[in-house]
Amino acid sequence: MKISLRHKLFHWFDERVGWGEIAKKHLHGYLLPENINAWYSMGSILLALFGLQVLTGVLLMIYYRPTTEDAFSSIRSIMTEVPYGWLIRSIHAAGANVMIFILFLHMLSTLFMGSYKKPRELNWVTGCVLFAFTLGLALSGYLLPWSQLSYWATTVATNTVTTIPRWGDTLLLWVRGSAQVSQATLGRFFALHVAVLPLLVILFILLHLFFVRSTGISTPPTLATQPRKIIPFYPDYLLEDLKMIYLALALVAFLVFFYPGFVFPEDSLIPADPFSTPEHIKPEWYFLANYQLLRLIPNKILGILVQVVAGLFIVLLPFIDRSPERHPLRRPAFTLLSILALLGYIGLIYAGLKE
Amino acid sequence: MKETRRHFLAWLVRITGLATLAGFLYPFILYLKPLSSSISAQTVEIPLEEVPPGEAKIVSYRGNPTIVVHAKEGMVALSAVCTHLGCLVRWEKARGELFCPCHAGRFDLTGKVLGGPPPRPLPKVPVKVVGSSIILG
Amino acid sequence: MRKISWLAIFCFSLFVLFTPGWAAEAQEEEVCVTCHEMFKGDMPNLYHPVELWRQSSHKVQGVTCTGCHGGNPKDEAESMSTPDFIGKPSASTIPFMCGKCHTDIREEYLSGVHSFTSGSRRPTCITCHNSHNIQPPILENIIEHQCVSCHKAEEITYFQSFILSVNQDAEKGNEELKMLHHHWVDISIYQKILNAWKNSTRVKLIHLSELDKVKSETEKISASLKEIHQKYEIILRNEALKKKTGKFTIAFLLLSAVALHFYYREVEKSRKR
Repeated sequence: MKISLRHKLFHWFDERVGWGEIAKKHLHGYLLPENINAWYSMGSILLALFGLQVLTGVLLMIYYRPTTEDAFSSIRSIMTEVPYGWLIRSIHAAGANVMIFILFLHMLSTLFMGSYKKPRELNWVTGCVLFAFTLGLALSGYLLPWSQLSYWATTVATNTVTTIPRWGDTLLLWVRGSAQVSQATLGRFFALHVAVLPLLVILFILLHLFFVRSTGISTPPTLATQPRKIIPFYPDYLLEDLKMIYLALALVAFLVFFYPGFVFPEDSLIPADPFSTPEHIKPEWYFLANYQLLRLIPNKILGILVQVVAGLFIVLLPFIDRSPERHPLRRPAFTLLSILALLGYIGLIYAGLKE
Repeated sequence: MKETRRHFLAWLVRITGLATLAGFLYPFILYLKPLSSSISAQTVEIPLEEVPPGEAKIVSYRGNPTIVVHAKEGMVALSAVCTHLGCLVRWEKARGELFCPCHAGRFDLTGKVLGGPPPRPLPKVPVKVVGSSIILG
Repeated sequence: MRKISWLAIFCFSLFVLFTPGWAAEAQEEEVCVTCHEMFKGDMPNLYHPVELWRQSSHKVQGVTCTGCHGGNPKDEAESMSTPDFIGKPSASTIPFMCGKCHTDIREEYLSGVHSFTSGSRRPTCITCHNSHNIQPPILENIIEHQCVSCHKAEEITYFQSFILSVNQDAEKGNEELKMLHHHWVDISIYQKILNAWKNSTRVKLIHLSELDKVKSETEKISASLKEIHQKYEIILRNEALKKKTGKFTIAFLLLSAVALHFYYREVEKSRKR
């Protein structure tokens, strides 16, 4: 009896919504290529982690107070008084780190497997935009606890806009809302972090997924013939995706429970003091290479310019590298250069950590 | 044999899925737990001169607005939350009544409803005067 | 008289020759030290203070002869004739001599029982801190030597161990505070109390030298230390639980991944069939 009721309800809605068709198209009938592998689950992990960030973020907003007087004490109360507040906040902070790490892996696999090539240029470009937005979320979220680390990292980060000739100083004022990082900055960054950027990220995730569905998921360029599309996304491949999501969650849990010092360094424990700069102020690991490059290149404008050009090069890669060959070993020059660039990037991070 | 293995794994996966959900929900729900427990079981002390004879004052007692009236009969304390729709009553000195401005509910100093829509009397709060201070609770 | 003024000129030229970095000491040493050094051979009593002062913590802090004795170090002829000059202070003037700078300690001392003691038994600043070779005394070793003439040995050790134990508790409290700080507890109030103890309260209490007063004062800090310790224990317990939960959570997530892995393979097999 019950089953038939469920059936009836399903059909009542199906006649109106047509979800049987949607499910067929996107779940059971959405077939993935036979040689797909774990690298193609990175997007799913990112989606899950983004969901986790939204969930924990909304929870944090309940007790967080975005004013210079209250921000740090509200964070302190979340960490010490609110039941499981420490857990929610630690997941949010560790989740951000893991998300950016997976984002790197996602982009690297796309890069080496040549998945950005025709007809998937738009997937790549929207992905790059998502990467930029995610870094923006990380940067804006960094200020919110109003700790010494928040305050001075934001001071240094916002200062980089002054390298822009002529308008730099004016732009700095507009970014900060005042000459120094202040309540005006906190308000701006709060709005960016909890409303503007998440909405933009959701919009671009939808675009990104739309492009993935319309071009079809890319396949590893390992088979001689065109791979057959035989694995249904639901329920089969979802299991593989879930496996990878669980592994990513295990990484988050590891940071939360056993490595809290990585997410909350010493200076993040002290409330912001605009009149005393801490000794060793350093950006997070994902900004460390950029920071180190700025220090290595003595000319400030040149340093920024190099990064802007490199960024543009990466975004426009599918339009620059237009050969159809995708296998990494059959385009050794590109692969070699990419590996060198990656090593250089890691080297810069390492140098930044060492100092 | 194959089938049982598959069935077992299917159930295992379902159970871990549910456990994961529960594992997330448990802290998330506790996170939203009301923070009232810390203010309960406390007495409130008000200096006597803050409520002169014939006057009244609304104070917070165990998180609830409470009206303290210095009446002819002595010190009276009642919940100030009207039992109708939760507005706060005020002391009408001239009539010697408590009056709710939202829907004109009227109460006497024992909390009894004198008129208007309130369905129940106002709950009493224990009060005593010790020296030069009023103590609730 | 002429001979002395020639000496003054010599001393002055020495002073001019000195580099600015040495100016402070040179200025002070100019008259007092150079003259007193001349007594090295035949009147060691007058030379000895210079040598003692050079080992003192006053020397390290830049406090020179005139800081305590007064006088005018620039004018050799008048050096010991100014109204504020005191060559050899009496027992009753010593607290005021030291108290020129150490004002609050002077007050504590003067209101304590030691200052009411009469005659030669009266302990003054120099009883514990030495004269000229001024040192911050260490509680562990000064008390027994200096106090036994008046106090019973067990009284002394009681006082000593009492202050020392509060001291040790304060040290432990400091360590516990560091841990609390790393767990987001607001420690600023406790830190103020402990710093005050370390920097002034403890010193004041020792100069007060009355066990009852000391006890009532130390009760305050002991209460804070107790609070700190309670919070510390709670966090310690929570941390242990957190680590256990962490291990369990990670194990669960990894095992779930393994279960999903095997289930997917089963599903894959049945699909191929």
